[in-house]
Amino acid sequence: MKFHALAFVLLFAFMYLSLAQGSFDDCCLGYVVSLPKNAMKNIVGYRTQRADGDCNISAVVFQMRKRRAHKKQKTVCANPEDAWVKEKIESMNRRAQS
Amino acid sequence: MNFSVEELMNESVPTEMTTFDPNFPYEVIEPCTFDNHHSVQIVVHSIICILGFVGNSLVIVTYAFYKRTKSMTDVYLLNVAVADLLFVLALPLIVYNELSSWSMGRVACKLLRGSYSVNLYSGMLLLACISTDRYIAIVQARRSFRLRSLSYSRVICVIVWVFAILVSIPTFCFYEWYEPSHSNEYYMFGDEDIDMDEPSQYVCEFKFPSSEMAQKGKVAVPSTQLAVGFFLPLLVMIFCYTAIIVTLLKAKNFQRHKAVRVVLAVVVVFIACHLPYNLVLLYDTVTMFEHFECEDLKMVQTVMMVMQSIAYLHCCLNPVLYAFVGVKFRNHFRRICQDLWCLGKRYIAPRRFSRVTSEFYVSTIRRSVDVSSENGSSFTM
Repeated sequence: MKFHALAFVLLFAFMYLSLAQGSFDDCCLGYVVSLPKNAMKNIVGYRTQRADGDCNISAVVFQMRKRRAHKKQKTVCANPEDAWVKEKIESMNRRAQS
Repeated sequence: MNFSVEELMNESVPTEMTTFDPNFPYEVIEPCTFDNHHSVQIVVHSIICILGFVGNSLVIVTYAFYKRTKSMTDVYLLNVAVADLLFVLALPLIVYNELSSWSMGRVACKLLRGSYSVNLYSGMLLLACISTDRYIAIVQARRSFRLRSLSYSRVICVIVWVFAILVSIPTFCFYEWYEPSHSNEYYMFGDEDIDMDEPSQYVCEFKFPSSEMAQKGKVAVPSTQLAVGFFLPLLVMIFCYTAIIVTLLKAKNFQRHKAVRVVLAVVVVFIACHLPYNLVLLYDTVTMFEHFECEDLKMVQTVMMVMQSIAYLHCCLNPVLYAFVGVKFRNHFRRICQDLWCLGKRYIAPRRFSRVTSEFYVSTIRRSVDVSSENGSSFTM
């Protein structure tokens, strides 16, 4: 019995290790007030975060230009109600259409 | 996950900080990323699954083969064991799915989350029923023969299960299997090549038709869980067991100290297991829409996870606290072990050990204590 239990625990532990990169929470919790002009130039894309699911606030997540110094691309949380955010998204959408 | 604004700019271009508000916070807010599973939690959950499975199966097997359910408490104990068993059976599937980004799909998501909720509610409410039953047997002894009939307890169990299902309907409805927005692709502009080679991740979480509804629903569901799944049973148990202890201390029964100890153990274990988790859940619900730093949020989530594991542990302790504490139950259980031992040699027919008491004329309290132990409500150790 004890050995069975131990085997079970080990099985679960291995299962965990093999699937460790499972579910992550990845939500904006706040907003940046504004971005400097130079940082704005480096925005290359965006996605929207909605508040109807696992995240509690709606947000716009800007993706910044990849730089060699950083392993991961930087992302920035912004308030979708802010004028500069709306403007930036509109200008990006326009660029995409043309 | 915050870093300075300068990092977002090209080094070649001089920074133009003069154009900014002097109060500008020199940090940029990134999405808060945290892994909501830890290896320790997986190990603890597996132990809970195994212990809970063994303990509750033994209770069900004992009741199924060797003990005809003949008292209210027996019916409740059997139902608690069934609820706990279903809970520990759903638990490894939930853990597996959370780790494999819900590979079992939408139906499994709804069923597992729903059954988790149903079993949580029914288990907690049945514990409250057991305390009420014992209260009637001991404190309201004169009425106990009228109120403690089998048909009553079956009806009450059905009501509890139906109620648990009704309360879980929002869970069934609003837990959805979906790709969260953070695994959505970015809308890309320009010629940037961005590595988006991550596989699509599914989650099984709340998903509401609108943000307004989400604001209400995300508070309403845990609030119901706190009220119906913890505070209601807690109040009922505290009231009933306090009255029982007072009555027992007045009684002149040599076994009363053991009975008091059992009652205290039941209450203390219940509070120790469920109070910490429910307090953290309360805090989390109250502060849900407040602004948190990522580090703080991570800490709250980690504490909640640990407390949740402790709360889950309760379903392994129920068989010990309620069933195996009883002398009669232990006798029946011993019988099973013997029978299993002798299986193949000879078959021992299930025999009823308990005799029905007909001594109604002893003093009220003495009688009620005897009745409760006769009925297997496990006060004798």
